[in-house]
Amino acid sequence: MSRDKRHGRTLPEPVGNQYPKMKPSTVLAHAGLAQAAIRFGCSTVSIQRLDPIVQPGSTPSSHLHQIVGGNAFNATMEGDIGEQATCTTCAFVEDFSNYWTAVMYFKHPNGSYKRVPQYPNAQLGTEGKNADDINGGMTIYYTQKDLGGNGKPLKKVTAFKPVGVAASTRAARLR
Amino acid sequence: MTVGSPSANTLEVARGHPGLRYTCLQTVLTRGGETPDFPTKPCPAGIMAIHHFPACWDGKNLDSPDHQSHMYSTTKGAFQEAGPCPDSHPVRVPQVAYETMV
Repeated sequence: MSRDKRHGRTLPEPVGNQYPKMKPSTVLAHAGLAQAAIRFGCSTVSIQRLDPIVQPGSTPSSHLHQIVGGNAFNATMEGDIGEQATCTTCAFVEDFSNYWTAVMYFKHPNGSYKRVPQYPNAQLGTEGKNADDINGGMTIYYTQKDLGGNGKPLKKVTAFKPVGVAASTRAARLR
Repeated sequence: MTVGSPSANTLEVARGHPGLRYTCLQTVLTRGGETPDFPTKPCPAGIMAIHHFPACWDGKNLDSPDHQSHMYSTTKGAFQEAGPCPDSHPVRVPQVAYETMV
């Protein structure tokens, strides 16, 4: 892990995003809107030395992550995670994806490290209120703002494909 | 897919990873002023790490050896609208972003 020497803090590491399973209806609902977005809070589900994208199968991985999302998070994560998970720490319960980031540490003058905890974003509840049931974690966005852009017509949006699922299986599920 | 790099140890390298930016929080609602490196002054409400994932896919590979080259980022940061996907990565996918407050 690289380190920011000026602040004695560790620099964030690359962040993984397990290809989210999105329901086709979710994506279609966006297609007709000029600027559609989903924003939702996710509580921390675990803090672990696991990285199913960069170091799949390594227990532990060489570095630490804070993880949010569904209960199918694992060292490898193969197949359609949306089919394997049964619940999630995210407020948007149709999504069983996992999302993870680096963990920041504060380096004390005596050389010891202390993990800096995450705290929830503002306005994650209904009607712009704060959500008191989100603990740590992070806020997830799915947006269309990056589409076409600059006044050009919106382009078609393609849903993420689950990793490791044969196309024939996927087609069967969509029928 | 991933954004950022664990080996980024200079500002120049960090600038080359447009998907990973930081905001010095005066309050939890502070937005704007994204920087490629950590804030250099005290931040009363902490630091927000923002991850803008790329929204252009090569249409073929579900992953790549560096977990990034099968995707292409058109982000300009701060949820601004960006340009169209290049021919090398022509397929638009939903754009994912994270905000993490510490």
